[in-house]
Amino acid sequence: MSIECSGVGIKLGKCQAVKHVTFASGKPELIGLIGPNGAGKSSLMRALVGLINFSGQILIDEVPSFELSAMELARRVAFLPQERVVHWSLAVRDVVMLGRMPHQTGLGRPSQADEEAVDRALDLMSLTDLQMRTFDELSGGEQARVLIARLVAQEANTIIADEPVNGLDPAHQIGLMRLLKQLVAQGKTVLVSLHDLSLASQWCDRILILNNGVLLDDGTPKAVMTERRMREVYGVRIQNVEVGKQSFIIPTELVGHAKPMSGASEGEEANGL
Amino acid sequence: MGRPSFPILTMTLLGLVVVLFLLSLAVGQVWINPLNGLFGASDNVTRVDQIILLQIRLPRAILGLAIGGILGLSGAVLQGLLRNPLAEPGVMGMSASASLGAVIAIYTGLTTAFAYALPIAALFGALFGVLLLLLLAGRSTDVLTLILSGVAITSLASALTSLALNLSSNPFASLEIVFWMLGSLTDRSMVHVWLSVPLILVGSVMLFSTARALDALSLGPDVARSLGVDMRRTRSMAIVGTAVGVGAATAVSGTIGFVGLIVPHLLRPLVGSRPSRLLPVSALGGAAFLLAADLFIRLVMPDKDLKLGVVTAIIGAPFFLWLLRKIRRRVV
Repeated sequence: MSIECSGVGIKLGKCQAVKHVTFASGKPELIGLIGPNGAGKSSLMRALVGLINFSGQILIDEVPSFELSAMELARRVAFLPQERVVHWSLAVRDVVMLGRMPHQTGLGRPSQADEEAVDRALDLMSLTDLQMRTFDELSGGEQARVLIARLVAQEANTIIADEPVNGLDPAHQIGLMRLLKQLVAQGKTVLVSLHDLSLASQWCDRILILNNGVLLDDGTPKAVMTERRMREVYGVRIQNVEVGKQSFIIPTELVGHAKPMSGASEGEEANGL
Repeated sequence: MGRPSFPILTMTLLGLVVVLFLLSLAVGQVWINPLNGLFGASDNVTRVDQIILLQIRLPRAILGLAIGGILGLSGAVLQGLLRNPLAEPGVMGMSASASLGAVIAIYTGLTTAFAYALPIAALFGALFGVLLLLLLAGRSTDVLTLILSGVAITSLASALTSLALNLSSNPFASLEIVFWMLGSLTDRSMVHVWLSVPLILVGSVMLFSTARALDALSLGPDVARSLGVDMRRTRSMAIVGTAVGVGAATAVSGTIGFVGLIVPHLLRPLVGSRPSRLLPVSALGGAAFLLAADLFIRLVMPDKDLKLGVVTAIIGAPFFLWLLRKIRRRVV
């Protein structure tokens, strides 16, 4: 399993939302993509799953993504967008079963393998007892778990989630990060965009910092989430808190405006993000 | 009480459609045993009965089945595609543009020169409508562009229809236009069946091909695309399938509203809201609804020539209001 971006640029209308981004991952790891609003995080993620056009090259398992059919790409990369809606009153099991779509052919009747994959995903997310309930009956935290279960059922080696902890209370945020870490332990590469610097520093193996569409840093949280960089990117002062072997980063106060968010923000807005 | 399983629901609706179809053959001013009439001459079946059955009631029953089916099916597809419970075939402007074609045929006197000019002109109207829709909506997969384009086409076609009524110097032509627009299955022949049913079948196949994509669209267009769904193909199949099927239906029956709105709504809770499962049951439900409405007309007011479109609208409009209230309550 591997994912590789080289010189990726994304233009949204007249705005250059992402500029010459290069990074690669060839092992199971939890990668946090951080940066202020309009930095180009969502655009980069959407390009990785083939939702928007880009320049440069994206390799998925060493194959250029444009050479993969939509179904082949879906079998290799699973995506959770920011928009987390289920438009109809679907049962939890039916939502999770949608993750099996790239593996189904013909009329799409679920095979035994599909049913088993859904059972495993429901079990991993502790949703087995809720599987016959409808999605809209669940709490926000339970709904987030259902959508992650759909990602898991897709059985792709790479998982991309755009701000999955948004709108969740601290307990569910930690629970969700723990689940993502479990997926890494199962051999997946997980790329997740985050606004919570504390969660990013605590849970991610690796951090990519994106600002104004440019990839500024790529390294461990400790190496790249420095006081200077956070001030430059977010315009905030941070405090490092060590608890045992864990290091937490807490934004404490504003120290001035973050750099103007040039074209990227307009681009993302135009894209409905 | 739990909801019925999908096979039981499908078989029940199928059984209902078969019963209503046979009743549609049997019921009228003269009661006829359809099995005797269709499958050979029993001594009791007179030649007149066979003529009534094969030339009057059979085309009407087939059209009721096919038109109800395509209206229910296209309503379910459009609601799934637009992820909007208020969507129905009329929203795409196909019914209005087919009506405009028919009205032009009546207005210009083509219908007096050639008996089947009306449905053929209506088909051309629907074709023009879909070309205009594809032109306006372009290659965009944006739902709002699609709905607004449909609204624009409906407004334009309705305005031109009104203009034809306004300018018509022949009161009989005006009356014919108005009656035709009310929607009916009365006095249709097997020629109408041959003109419309093959196109309705083609439209149905295109609409059914969107089933799995509509399931994925429940999670939004981004997730659907990331699951491998080709959104452009899905949208094209849904629009062209609706245009071909509903255009052909409107061409022979006139405008019959609300079937595509009501039927998917009534059946959605019974299939666990899964769009792919809603398609076949909505087709069957639409067929049953229209056959039942047509039977109602024949049984309750046989002498009044009550129009089918009027009956479906009388049932549909209050339902529409109820639906709006229900949705509003959920939003508030």
